[in-house]
Amino acid sequence: MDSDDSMPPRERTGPLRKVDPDRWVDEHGDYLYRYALVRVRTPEVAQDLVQDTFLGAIRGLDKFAGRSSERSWLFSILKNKIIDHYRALGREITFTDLEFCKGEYAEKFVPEGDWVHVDGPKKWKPEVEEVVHRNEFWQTMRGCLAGLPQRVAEVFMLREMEEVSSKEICSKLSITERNLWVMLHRARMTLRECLEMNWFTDKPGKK
Amino acid sequence: MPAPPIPNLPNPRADHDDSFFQGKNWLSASINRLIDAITPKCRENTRILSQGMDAPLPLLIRLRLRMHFLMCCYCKRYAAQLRYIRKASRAFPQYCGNVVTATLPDAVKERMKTLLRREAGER
Repeated sequence: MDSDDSMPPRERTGPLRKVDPDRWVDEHGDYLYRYALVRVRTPEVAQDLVQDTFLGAIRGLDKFAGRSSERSWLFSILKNKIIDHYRALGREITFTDLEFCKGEYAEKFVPEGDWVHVDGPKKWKPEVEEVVHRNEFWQTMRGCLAGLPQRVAEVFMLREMEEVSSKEICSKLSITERNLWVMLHRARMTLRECLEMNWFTDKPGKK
Repeated sequence: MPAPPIPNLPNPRADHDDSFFQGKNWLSASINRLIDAITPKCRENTRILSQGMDAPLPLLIRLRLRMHFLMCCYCKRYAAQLRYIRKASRAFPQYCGNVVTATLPDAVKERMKTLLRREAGER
């Protein structure tokens, strides 16, 4: 994943590396923890995921050939742990998840299906390349994600943050492709509304 | 007395309408009607556009969307915004460190180290 490249690279210490759990925890623990915190909603679960990641790393140390930096290797393990965690929750898709945003913002369209002109999507400024440097944007984004039901947020994050293919999400979380598409469509629609309302609309007090 | 419903047509221009037909009324009136008749409605387009983010759309559908964008800046924006959200989401992990500043509690770190040392020792 791109993001890992931005992290300071770790030198590898040779093919027969000595495991140094203390250093791992000190150097990478907080990064992994924050990454997990964005994806699961409780600190305890995030902590467990980080711990499982380190355990998995120790057990799989032989497979780490040093092709990537130590940290991005740990991140890739964590990603899989997160997917496993989502799956292990073993929840069926609940009524709430499928009912979520059922109206699909019908009020934004006239009965014929065209946008209500005064209420259609606005122009979004500034461009995404600029907006990523603004912490307030990420706070808004986090707030909007938190507004989604957990399961819907999970599939959205797997698809859009982790870039897991929709086929893979379906098989890993055992949901049908149709249900996945419905959930993604509504998640995107809701996030779009939320971002437009809270970030892209000029409000007094917002810079 | 209830307020009369706001009529949606004739089409008022959106602010900063940058669609191709902006300002070409004679052309747009007739072609608009044609495009309107042969392309999906905006509401349906939002579903199609979302699907298009997850699987390649058939050529014919993509052509229809292209035509629709010629006369509808809203759907064009919607499509751009789905891409915007995707780009932002992918950048999120990289930048979330600035927003999420939580650190592992020291007790948890110690617990992990103990556990990991034992695990490493058994290896």
